[in-house]
Amino acid sequence: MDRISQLPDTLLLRILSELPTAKDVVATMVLSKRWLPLWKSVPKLVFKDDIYQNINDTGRFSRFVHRSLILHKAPLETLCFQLTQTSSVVDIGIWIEMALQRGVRDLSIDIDCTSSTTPVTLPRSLYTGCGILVTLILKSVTLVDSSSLPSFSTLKTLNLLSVKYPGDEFVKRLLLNCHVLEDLHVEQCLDDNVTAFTVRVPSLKSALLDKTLDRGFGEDDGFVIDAPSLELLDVLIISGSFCIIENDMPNIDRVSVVLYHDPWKILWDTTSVKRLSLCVPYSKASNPVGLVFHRLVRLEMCTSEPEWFSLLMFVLRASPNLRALKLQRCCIRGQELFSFWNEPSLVPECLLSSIKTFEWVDYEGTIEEKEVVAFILRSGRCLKKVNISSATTDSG
Amino acid sequence: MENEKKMITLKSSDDVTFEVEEAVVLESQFLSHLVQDCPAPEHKIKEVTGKILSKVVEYCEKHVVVVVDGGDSSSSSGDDLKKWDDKFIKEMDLSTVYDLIAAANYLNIQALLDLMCQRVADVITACKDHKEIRETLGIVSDYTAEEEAEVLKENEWAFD
Repeated sequence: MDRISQLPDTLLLRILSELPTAKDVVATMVLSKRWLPLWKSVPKLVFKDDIYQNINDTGRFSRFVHRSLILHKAPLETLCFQLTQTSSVVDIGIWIEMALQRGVRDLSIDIDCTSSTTPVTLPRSLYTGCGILVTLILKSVTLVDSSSLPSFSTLKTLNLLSVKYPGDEFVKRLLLNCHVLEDLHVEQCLDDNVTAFTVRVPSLKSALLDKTLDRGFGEDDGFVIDAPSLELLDVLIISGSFCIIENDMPNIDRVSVVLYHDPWKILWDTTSVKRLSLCVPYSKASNPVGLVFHRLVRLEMCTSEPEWFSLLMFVLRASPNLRALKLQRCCIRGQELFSFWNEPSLVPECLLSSIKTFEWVDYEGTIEEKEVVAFILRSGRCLKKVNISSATTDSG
Repeated sequence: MENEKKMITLKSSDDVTFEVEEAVVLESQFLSHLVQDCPAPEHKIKEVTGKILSKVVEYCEKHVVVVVDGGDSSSSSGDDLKKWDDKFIKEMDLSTVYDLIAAANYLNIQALLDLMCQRVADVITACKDHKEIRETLGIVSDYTAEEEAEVLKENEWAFD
């Protein structure tokens, strides 16, 4: 037998699991008799309908998915659907049921039907079957209401991207039933029927909550977070929205805040953070008194906002143990006027005693930027490593 | 001396020896158990040839976990490692890849096994049909022409 075919099944299955689509996997059956049955044991299948573009292809993709799922013999660990055609999504409910019967652990449904206005509604059996799922990734689907939601007792990772919901109350109940959930990624879209998105999950370790996707906004729009085990928090919200943190998060390690609004409410509740990343506007009016980040060792700040250096000085003063500072342009903002840099009369403690690393990406060399650099280099008595680079050339 | 590193000698099936730091050996689950259970200075690995073991050692030496000051691993080092991996596999012929898959599996080095399996999968994906896959991967078909036609016909749903 040839060299590759001599490898044991487990290793050939591992190779087949890395193929990009189920079509590639199934097609290997014709290579030789050794390969003929292998595809039926591959633990991961990814169904993509993007190669079925012709009008004659209607039904061919569905037939392919159906037969693959029926003939597949081993437990399916991972099943992904990436669907772009209206005709492909008709049977999604049946496929989900088949997948759940096969003990699928990681399920991903990604719909991108720009041509269709009909929402893709997932069956209620998804909730009952969720008792075995470890990962669930949903994109551009609609969830229906259910009077009783079971416990999602194994679900560790949940992504809800551009999902439409029955309402605020449903989301609250859904997440309350996720007793072991550790990772949550939410991207809210326009008209998703949820204003206050409540995340009350005691087991949650990492959350990325994003409300910036072309949504309208109102005062009742925001996130409510009650996740005392949280270690990583990324919040992206638009002006007018709120983010309420209801309980202490003693294990918080990294917080990243991007918003067009007052960030201090979030920062007050996460003062035990170790790594902080900020892309927020600064306003002297809301300058909070008494805020101290005792454990903060690494700060990243976006240089797109007007007065970002005022914010920088404020956070530096509030962070006595900071070790690393990074400045980076992480987003593009409008043509707001930048105010002038005034050298602070008092050098922040951390510059004198603890900051060892200073990095500036996308340095442009404006007068203000030069003054900021000069100030940091002059005051940074413990600096060991400095790296300043512009977008085009490295200026060392 | 504080900085003296413990060295271990690995001997391949064809008696080629490699002297490596203990940290390098720990990249392999199999070898770390072996070293713990049997603290001899030299270990013979009967299942792996010198040619393949040199590749394994090269990979593990590059991937030894480096703890950066402050415990914060920078992303650039991750990118560098990725570039190194790409170069490592690009320069390798497929028969070496197959041997490395078997060796990484035996020595239980999951990251190396993943890298090699991904490489074969990429090669398969780049082929336009099963004939090209056979040719590129060196797979010998044991189908007669009639049998192959039959498989294609019976499973027409999979190929149309």
